[in-house]
Amino acid sequence: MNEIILKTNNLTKKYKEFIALDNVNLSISKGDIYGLIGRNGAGKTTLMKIITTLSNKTAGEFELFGKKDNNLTETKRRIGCLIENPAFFPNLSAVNNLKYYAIQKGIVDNKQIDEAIELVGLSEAKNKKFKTYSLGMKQRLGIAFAILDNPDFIILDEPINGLDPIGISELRDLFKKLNLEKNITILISSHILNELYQVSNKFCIIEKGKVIKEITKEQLDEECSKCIVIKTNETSKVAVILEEQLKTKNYKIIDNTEIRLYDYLENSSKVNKTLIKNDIDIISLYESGITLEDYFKTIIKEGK
Amino acid sequence: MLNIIKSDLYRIFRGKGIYIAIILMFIIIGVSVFLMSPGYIGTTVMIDEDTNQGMTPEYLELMEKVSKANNILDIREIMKEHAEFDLDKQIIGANTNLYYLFIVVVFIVICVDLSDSTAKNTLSSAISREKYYIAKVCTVMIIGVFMTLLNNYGIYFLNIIFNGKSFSSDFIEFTKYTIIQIPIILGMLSILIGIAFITKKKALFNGLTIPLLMIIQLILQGAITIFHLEQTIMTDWELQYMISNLANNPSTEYIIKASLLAIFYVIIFNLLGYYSFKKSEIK
Repeated sequence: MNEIILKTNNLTKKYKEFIALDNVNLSISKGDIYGLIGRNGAGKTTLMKIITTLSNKTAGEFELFGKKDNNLTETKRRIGCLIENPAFFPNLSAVNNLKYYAIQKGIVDNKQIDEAIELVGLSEAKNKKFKTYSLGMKQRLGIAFAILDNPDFIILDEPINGLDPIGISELRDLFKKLNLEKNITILISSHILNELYQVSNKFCIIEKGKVIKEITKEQLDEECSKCIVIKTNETSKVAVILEEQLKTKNYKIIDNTEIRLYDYLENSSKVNKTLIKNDIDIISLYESGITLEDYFKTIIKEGK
Repeated sequence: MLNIIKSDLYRIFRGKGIYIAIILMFIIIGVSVFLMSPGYIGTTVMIDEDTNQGMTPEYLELMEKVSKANNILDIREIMKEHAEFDLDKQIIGANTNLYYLFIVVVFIVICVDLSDSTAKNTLSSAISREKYYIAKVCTVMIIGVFMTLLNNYGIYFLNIIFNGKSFSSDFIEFTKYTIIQIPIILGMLSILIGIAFITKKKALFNGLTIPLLMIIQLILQGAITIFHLEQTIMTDWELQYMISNLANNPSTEYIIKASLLAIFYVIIFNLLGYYSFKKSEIK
């Protein structure tokens, strides 16, 4: 079983009467790229701020690398963060800003600074003052800061904000590379499910401070992908017909009454005729599948 | 924690702010030494013969002659002809001026970090709030004491160069006065640190700290007048008077009381600052 990097237990945050986080329970395993999805004001940043100790929780608890939240001083060194907007000293260059934080983290090798800057594609602008940077460049520097100390766990709050499409694609590749090559666990938030879908392997949908759904990428694919839904009480018979007569194994038995077929999407009538020819009692047969955006909207509505 | 202090020193000495503060300090020193008179920024200490400030009738007579002089060179001539006194001690008696330069130091070390949200980078992945607070206090105090020493010994040596030995005090004695001023300098720094951590905003910090010394004087003076209190409350324990008194042959009892008051300031303002910082959300 994978090591648990972050585990929250009924984590709650209140600002006077307003509940920003309401009994949040989630768990992130080593190697995950965990996507935190929610609309603006859903509680994503609040959750990240509590985990990084920038904000105090009202109730509940969390564990980072197995350490309780009241004993995180040493554990914090294993995480890299970019919370809200990237903030650096405007009159220092990118390299001097990172040097400042490198001294704080006890990094003596300046190569690490150059590596981080190179990874985010800021090498050419590394000596420019932070105040002259565009929003996209600032985001990249924020990510360079997060990966500066070769952390085991990176927390990125809406890191693709302000980036152009090529920049988004480059960062997506970078996140995957960090995850695969350096085995870094990543918690990444966004309000765009489509963006997170392309990098994350696990998702948490949050709305009004509550976790509405925690779902793996495979489960999400199943729930969203286009398919022919066959409702019948004879699922095992249908499976045999699909394999022997329609020559497909691209189907899934959901339960005793439902099979999802991912082939013959353009020719569902052939499926229907074949099943009828074999005396299958079909309750219903229809095409299904929704876009990620529609799925997100549906889940949010259900959560309400 | 040591790394936080090192990183702050790295950042501060890469910026212009600290150098501007040091240049300003030397301009004030230079003017005071050349004019042979301590220069005060903002409110001035009233010369009171009843207080132990080394202001003799002869000195006051001399000041009257000086006030009638036409230009700076005449002033210097009059001073050199008619007087012989420890000008360096008098100038370090005006060290409350450093308060305004300390505002710059606290602003750069603490306010910029909290107000521009760069503190969140440090606090989210490098250090606890306790250590962060202590590191900031240490950084401010290191720079504050460094500037005080630079200021005092700058005054001492510039005074010897420009005005000669007859206006200069003994080096050991001068060092003693420098040392006994340090606790109240730390107290003054702690007031600024406390305000910085409570306000967390650059504009609010500046708005409160710049007029603070004048406001304290006005409040004290008002309280003395309204409640018919002893004037010595002002002349003994107000910051500007204290620093001046500590440079002018203070009694051992006064040094001890002043140091205790300084310790009180250090403890109270740092407790207030830390408590406010610990409870706050880092933006």
